Amino acid sequence: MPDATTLSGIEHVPGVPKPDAILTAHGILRQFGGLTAVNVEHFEVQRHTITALIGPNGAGKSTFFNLLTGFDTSQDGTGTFDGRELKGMNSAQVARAGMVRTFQLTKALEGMSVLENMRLGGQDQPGENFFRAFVAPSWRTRERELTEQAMDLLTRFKLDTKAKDSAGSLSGGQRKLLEMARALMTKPTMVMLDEPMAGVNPALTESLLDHIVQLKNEGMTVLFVEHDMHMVRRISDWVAVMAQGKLIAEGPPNTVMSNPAVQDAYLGAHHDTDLSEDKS
Amino acid sequence: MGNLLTDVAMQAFAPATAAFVLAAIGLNYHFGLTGLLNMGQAGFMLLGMYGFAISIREGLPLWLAVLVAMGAAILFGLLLGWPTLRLRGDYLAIVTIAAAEILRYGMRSQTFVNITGGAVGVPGNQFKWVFENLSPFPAERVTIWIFTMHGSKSTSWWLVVVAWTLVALLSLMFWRLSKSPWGRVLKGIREDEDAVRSLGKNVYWYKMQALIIGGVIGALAGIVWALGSAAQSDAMGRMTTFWIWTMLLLGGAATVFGPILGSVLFWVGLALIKGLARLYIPQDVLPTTAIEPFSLVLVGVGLILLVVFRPQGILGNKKELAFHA
Repeated sequence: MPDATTLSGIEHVPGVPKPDAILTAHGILRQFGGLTAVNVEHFEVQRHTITALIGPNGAGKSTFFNLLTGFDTSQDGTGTFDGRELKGMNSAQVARAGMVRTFQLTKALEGMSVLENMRLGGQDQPGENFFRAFVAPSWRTRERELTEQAMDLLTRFKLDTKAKDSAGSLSGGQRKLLEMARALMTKPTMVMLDEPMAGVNPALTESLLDHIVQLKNEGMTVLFVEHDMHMVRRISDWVAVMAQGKLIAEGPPNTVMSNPAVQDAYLGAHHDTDLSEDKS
Repeated sequence: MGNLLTDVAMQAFAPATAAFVLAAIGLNYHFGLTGLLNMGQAGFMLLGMYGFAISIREGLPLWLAVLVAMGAAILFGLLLGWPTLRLRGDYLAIVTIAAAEILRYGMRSQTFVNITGGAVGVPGNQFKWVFENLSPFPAERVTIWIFTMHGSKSTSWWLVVVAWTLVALLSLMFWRLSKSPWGRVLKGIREDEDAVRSLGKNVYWYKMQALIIGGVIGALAGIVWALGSAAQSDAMGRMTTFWIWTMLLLGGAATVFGPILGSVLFWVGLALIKGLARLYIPQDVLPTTAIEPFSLVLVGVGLILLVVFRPQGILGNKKELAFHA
């Protein structure tokens, strides 16, 4: 099912350049005190693919995600998204440029209705300007368009019957769906999903996977962080592996897990040797 | 007893009540819509009343004096928001309460006595006349139904009309804005500002707008208050801010009528308790001097009961905004 044609012929080494990269990052460094959380020399994401970012706990995946989306600032390095320089862009600017993200801990806006959550994701709503907000005719047309777009998405994510309900009344899995649908309201070109499967029951996992594949079919690029290797294998075209802040391996899902560096990262390099030989 | 009831009923529409309604409407932009913990609303009121009173005293026309008051609130909002709105909510609370107190001490300080009038403030007769001269009511005591008030001076029918007209207009404005896409962005920020950032909105700028608009309305509240009494800084201390919070939470934050209901209930309740205590509790049990603190204690108990039993306030929607334990 994963379509690897655009990625065939690319070397399976970390930091390998891609023929049509939508996102590039170079020399990204983030330290918290003495701890180097992220130190990625080079990373590229191929357009129109689903790329998984995996790695053991504490590998720096989420921090790397925050750095790419402007939610954290890299101490060094540069990046581009769709040809635009990412350095100096804040999170809102990154989102407006077309790279939208979700969060590991779902951020449903609980005090608002599901539909209002969705509408908030809409772009170019003139009524979000303080002065225009007074003049309802100046934003009603756009509001109708956004409502239509929102209802279409809610139908697709099977949340349309909940549109009027408070987002706080949704289950954990439904909140994940709402967050993804809300992100799509921005009409992104790239979707960044931070552990989309975390805390979702198995029945809903299936439909979430379908939704992610659907994003690619619609021409979007997906980068997602995930722990569950079954999920990664099923939907991703390409897998990047992080450990201890570094990118240690890249490749198609079926080969990357047999890479010794990846096994070392997950199981420990010296899991079958005497500790006294540890040189690092 | 009849007198007491008349007095209590008059509290319901007194200009002072309207001033607090306005201040609470301002705070409703901060807390109700945006979730900003502004603990210095009295500071905005203070700037409003001094900005207005000093401008008139120095010979500016009425409209310009109102603009000066509003401008001072805008500057104060920018100054407070600039360093704190990038940080988490608690910092704004600390900075605003401190800044409001600094303002109050500055205004009552002897150093600026030539401008602010020190601890005395700006006496009413130095600035209220401009407003009072515009009054269409006669310059004498006027009785309407069972209520007697002066037509034009200080706490007057004229001020009642102007203050409540202002309340009506600003409530309408709050209704319009809170139901607009602009208000939706603010509510989103109240719920989770990172989520709103991830959807491409400039959160910092929206928070700044909310802080300034609520503050400017607070300044208008200060003007109304000053027109009913005088520009005196100690009227606008921490206690004032806490009362405004009490009124907003009592009525229901993020609602259009919450500030009105909360403020009216607060003042009516306070007047009723004081009046009844004076009438029915013997002097040797509760001396006259203890009545004021006693009634405030009861208000405090009321607030505790409110938070426990109706955390969303009287009109509020629990699903939208309530105290979380």
